[in-house]
This record gives sequence, C-alpha cells and structure tokens, in this order.
Amino acid sequence: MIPFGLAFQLLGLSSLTGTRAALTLLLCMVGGRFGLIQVPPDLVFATQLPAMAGVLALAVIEEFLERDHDFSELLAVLRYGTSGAAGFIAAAGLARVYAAAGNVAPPTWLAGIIGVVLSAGTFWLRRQVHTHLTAASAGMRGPRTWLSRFELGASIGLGLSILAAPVVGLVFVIAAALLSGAVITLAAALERARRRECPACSFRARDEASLCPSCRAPLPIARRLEGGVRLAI
Amino acid sequence: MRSRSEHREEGDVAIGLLEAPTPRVVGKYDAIRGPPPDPILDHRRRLLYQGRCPGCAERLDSGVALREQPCPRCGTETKLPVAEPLSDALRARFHRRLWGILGFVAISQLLFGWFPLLGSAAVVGAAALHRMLLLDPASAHLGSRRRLVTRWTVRLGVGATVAFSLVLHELLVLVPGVAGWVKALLAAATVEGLGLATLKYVTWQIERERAGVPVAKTEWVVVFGSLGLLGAATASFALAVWWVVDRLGGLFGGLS
Repeated sequence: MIPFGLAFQLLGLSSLTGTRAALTLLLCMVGGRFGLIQVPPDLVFATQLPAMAGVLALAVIEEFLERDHDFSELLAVLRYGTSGAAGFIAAAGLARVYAAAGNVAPPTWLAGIIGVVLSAGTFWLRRQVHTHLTAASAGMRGPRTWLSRFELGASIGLGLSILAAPVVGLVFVIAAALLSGAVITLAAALERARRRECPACSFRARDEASLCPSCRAPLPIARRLEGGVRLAI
Repeated sequence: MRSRSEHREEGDVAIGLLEAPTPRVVGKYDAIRGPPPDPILDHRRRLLYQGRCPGCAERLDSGVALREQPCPRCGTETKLPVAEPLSDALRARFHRRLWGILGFVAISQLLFGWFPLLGSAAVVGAAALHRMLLLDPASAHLGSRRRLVTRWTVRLGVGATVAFSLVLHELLVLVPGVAGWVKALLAAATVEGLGLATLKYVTWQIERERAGVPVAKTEWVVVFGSLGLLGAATASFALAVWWVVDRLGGLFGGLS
C-alpha cells in the first residue's frame, strides 16, 4: 500500500512539472538542500551548487519561453520532452527518497512513468487553455500573458505546499485541472454557438461566413460584424 | 505615395487597424473612417482585422493576410486593405504619441530625477508604453516566426538600452547641479531613439513579410544566442554569489 503522503506528492509534483519543469526540479533540489526532503546519498549531487546553478539557468530560460506564446508553440514538441523528462525525474526521485527512508514505495520506473503521463497530460491541458486565451486576445495585456505570470507564482507556492503540506497541494492541482477543463469546455461551447449548418454539405460554418469552407457554396451571413473592431492575431 | 487624408477619403483604415486594440481608439476608428460605403465590404474587412477569412470566417494563419495569400480553406482573396500604407500608418501613430511620451518622461525626470531609481522608473514605463502602443499592434499581422524574431529582437535591444541608460541616470545623481535637466534630456533622447529604432525595424520586417522573404538564420542566432547567454549569465551569477557568501562565511568564522 503506497502511503497517502507519497501519492499526493507524486501527483502534485508530476503535475507541476507540466507547468514549470525546471522550476519544479529546482524547488525539489532546494528542498533537499535545506532538509525538507531527506536526500539519499546517491542523489546528494543534485543538491550541490553546480547542479542547482544549472537548473536555475534552465528555469530562467523556461520562464522567458513560457511568456511568449509564439515561442511556446514553436518549441511545443521539445517542451513535451522536457516536461516528461522532468516528470520522470521528479516522480522517480520521490519514490527513491521514500524507499531510502524505509517507507513503502512503488518501483522507481513505475513512479517515473506515472510522472511522465501526468506531466505530459498537464502540459497538454495548459496548452489548450493558452491557445484559447491567445485566440481571445493577444499581446502584453491579453489574458494569456496574465495567466502565465500567475502560473509562475502559483508554481512556487504549489511546489512549497507539496513538500510541506501535500494535501493542500493536491487540492490546488485538482482545482486547477477542473478550472482548465471548464475554460476549454466553455470556449468550445461558445464556438459551437457561433456556427450553423451549411444547407449543401451540413458542415457547421461560422455565422459570419458568406462561403462554406467545406463545399464553397455561398451562404447568407447570419451575423454581421458591426461596431468596434478588435484586432486579433 | 498617398497622404493620410487620401487614405481616409478612400475608406482605407490604416489608422483604425493600428489603433484597434484599445477600445477608446476603436471608437475613433469609425469616426475617422466615416460611414462604410458597402455593408458587406465593411463586414469582410472587420473579419480580416479579427484575423479571420473574409469569406468563410475561419481563423487565418498569421501572416496570410499581410502576404495577400488566398484563404487555404475556401480560396477567398485575403488582401488586407491596409497592407500598403501600414508603414506610413505606423509612422503617423508613433509621431502622434511620441510627444506625449516624451513630455511624460521629461517632466517625471525633472520632478523626481533627484531621487535615486524613481526617475529611472519613467524610462522603464516609457519602454513598456512603446511595447503596448507600437510593438504589439504592429507585429500582430506578421507570421508567427517573424513575429517571434521581431518581438525578441526589439525586447533585447530595448532592454539593453534601458539598462545602460538607467546606470547612466543613477551615476548622474552624483553630479550636483546638472542632474535634473541633463537626466531629463538624456531620458527624452533615449525614449525617442528607442522609438525610432523600433519603428524602423518593425516596418522593415513588415515589408519583408509582404515580400515573402523568409526569416534569416542570423536572426534566429540573435534569439537563441541571447537565451543561451541569459542561461550562462544566470548560472554564473548564482555561482559568484555562492562564492562570495562562502568566502564571507569563512571570514566571519575565522574572526569569531
């Protein structure tokens, strides 16, 4: 039976790596250095300064990449890889720490795989939310930019709470996942509501369309754009 | 080249496009352009400004309208009515706003320049205004890769210039008598120089996008090179701080 504390920390840390991969690893290393995590002897190297300085540099670069949607999308495949790798390291390392302390823990490889799946899933969910928010409004004042800023603070808070109070961290992870799901569902519902069926091919074209994108048959404009113009990318 | 008044008479909406992101100016959009000559044409234009195809109303990939390519789904022509005078409109917008930003920076420097860091905040604020009012809307219609390169290059240039300028400003605080007006002049010159350089660079990128010139490898080197330098600088800084703390700890340990 896996202890609840381990399960909560495993879920929380793995999800966190899907949000800020390098930052999560850095928080674990800092936790290990200051005694929040009992680091086994073969992992002590990770709490030494050269390793921490390297991961700090990666965390800073990661933060710059996260702030720019174009950059994030350009490197999306690479970021799946880095998130998955960070999820594996964090989860496997956590299982290793628990096992070294004499607790019941899953095999390192199994914990690592759970970490990869949760990390990649979180990253996919975030990517969907970010894409919808960017479509709503881009630029320095857009909601995606503000969400990205919020995520940085929330990740640090969540990382500390996962180490100090795993239940609080888990509740936050679940709430964030539900909220993300709600944003995606709402955006999809709004998109569906703004479409109607093409009489020729049944494709659901936008209300503003004068031409069906599927069969190119002319359509009457069901909703004419009026009033202020809002620039979008 | 046609004048701005000619663009307005012909129903061009160059000014409206650039000012569209802010609701206050969106209000001006209609006032400037006057009543649309054709409601269907107006509807199609509005779709284009929202980044959608004027025919099927689906979202267009960025850069398609500026490059005047047809919609990949329905084949509708997507020529952005403002593509030709975009550079002129950018210039007009910049010069219209420049005096306000310059006045703000100069007065802030005169009033608060004597106080360390407070006067410099005005320069940082002006840099943020440049980004919101000039860079973001001007680069919105570029293709995603060129937009990325353009924004990062401008941010790097602005960041480096502002950092250098701030150091210079704070050093001037030490010079009695001349600090106030010299700092005000320096701040105004910095803001104007940054604005002109940004304007020139962004309009150059818009022209290249229209001409279909791909992003050069050297431009990517600037972006990824700066990221690499950032990482190296962060790691070096962390190691240097650790070394200093370690030495100080040893020194105090030896004294006690």
